[in-house]
Amino acid sequence: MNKMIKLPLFLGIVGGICGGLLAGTHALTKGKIEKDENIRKNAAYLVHFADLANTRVADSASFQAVWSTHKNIKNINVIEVLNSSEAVIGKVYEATVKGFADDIVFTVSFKDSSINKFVVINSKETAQGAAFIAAFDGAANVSIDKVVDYKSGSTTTYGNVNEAIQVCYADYKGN
Amino acid sequence: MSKRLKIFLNGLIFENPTLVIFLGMCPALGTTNTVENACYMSLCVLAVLVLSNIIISSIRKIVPNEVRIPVYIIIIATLVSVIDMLFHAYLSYDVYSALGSFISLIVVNCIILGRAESFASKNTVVDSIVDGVGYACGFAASIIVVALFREVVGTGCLSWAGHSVTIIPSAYVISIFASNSGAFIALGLVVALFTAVMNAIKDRKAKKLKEAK
Repeated sequence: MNKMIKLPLFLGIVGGICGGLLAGTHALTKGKIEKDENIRKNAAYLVHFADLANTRVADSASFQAVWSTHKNIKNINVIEVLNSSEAVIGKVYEATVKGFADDIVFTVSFKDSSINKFVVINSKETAQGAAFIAAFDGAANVSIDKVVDYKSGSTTTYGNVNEAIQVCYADYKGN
Repeated sequence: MSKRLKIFLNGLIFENPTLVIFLGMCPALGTTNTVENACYMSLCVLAVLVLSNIIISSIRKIVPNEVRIPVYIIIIATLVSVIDMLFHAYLSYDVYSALGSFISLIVVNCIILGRAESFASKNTVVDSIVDGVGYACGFAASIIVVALFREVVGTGCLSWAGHSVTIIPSAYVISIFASNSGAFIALGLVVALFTAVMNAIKDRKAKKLKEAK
C-alpha cells in the first residue's frame, strides 16, 4: 500500500484505539471523581459551622450567584447550610477571584459584623499574597473592619480578596 | 546466569536508570520528599513501563519504522492518562495532590520511551516485561532510598497514611534535605555512595581474577 496512505492510516488506527481506551476509563472514573469532589467541597462548606451538629449542604442546584461588577471577581456562589429539619442555619460564600499568580478560591461566612470563618480552597500565590491569605485562612470572628485595614503589601491579592469579601458581606447584610 | 535474570539485574543495578544513566531525574528530585510519595510514584512508573513494554513489544512487527516514535508516544501518553484517572478516582486526595503533575510528567520520562525504543521494540514480550520490571525496580529502589534519606534526615520522622514515627529528634534534623535544594544534595550523596560500592565490588572481582591467574 502506498506509504502516504499506510502511515497516516496506521497512526489513525492507533490514535482511535487509544482514544477509545481513554473514553472508557473516563466513563468509569467520572462518577467517582465527581462524588469525591462534592464530598470535599461539602466538607469545606460545613467547616464554617463545625460547632453545629447534623448540618448538611443544600443541593448544589439551589446555589445562587452573587452579582459583582468588580472585574477581578470571577464568580461568587452562595451555599446554604441546612440543619436536620431542613431549615437554613447559615450561608457560605464561595468566591473565585484573580490572584497574582492564579485564581484564588475561598469560602467565607459571616456572623453579625464579623467574618465567622475564612477558608482558602485553592491558591498558588506569591509569598506576599500567601502572607495575606495566611493571616486570614482559618480565621474566625475577625471584624470586617480589620479586613479593610489589613495591609500586606500584596496589592493585587489583597485588593481582589478584600473586594470579594466586601461584596459577600454586603449580600449577607442585605439578606 | 540466565538471560532473563541478566536483563532484570541490568535494570536494577548495572544500568540503574537513576543512579547510573541519570534518567527520570525530575521525579527523583520532586517526589522524594516523603517515602510514601516515592512509593506511589514508583508504582506509577512500574505500571506504565511494564504495560507500555508489553504493548510495544506485541506490535513491534507491524509498526512501520517511519512512525514508530509517534506511535510509542501515543501509547505511553494514553497509559499515563488512564493511570492518572484511576489514581484520581481510587487513591486518597492527599496522595494524588502530592503526586500532582509528576504523573503527567511520566509521559516525558526518558526511562519509558528509552526502554520502548531500545528494548521493547526489538525483543519478545516476556523479555520486555522482565526489562520493564527490572528498570522500574531500579528506579523505585533508588528514589525510595533518596526519599528515606531526605525524610529521616530532613524531618526526623517517617510518615505513612497520616501516621508518623519520630526517628531523629527535631533538634538534630538537617532541614535543608527536606527542601528542593536538599533533593539535589541527597541524590548526589546516594549516587556517590552507589558508585563507590559498585567500584569497590568491581575492584575486588578484578583482584580475585588477577590472583586466580
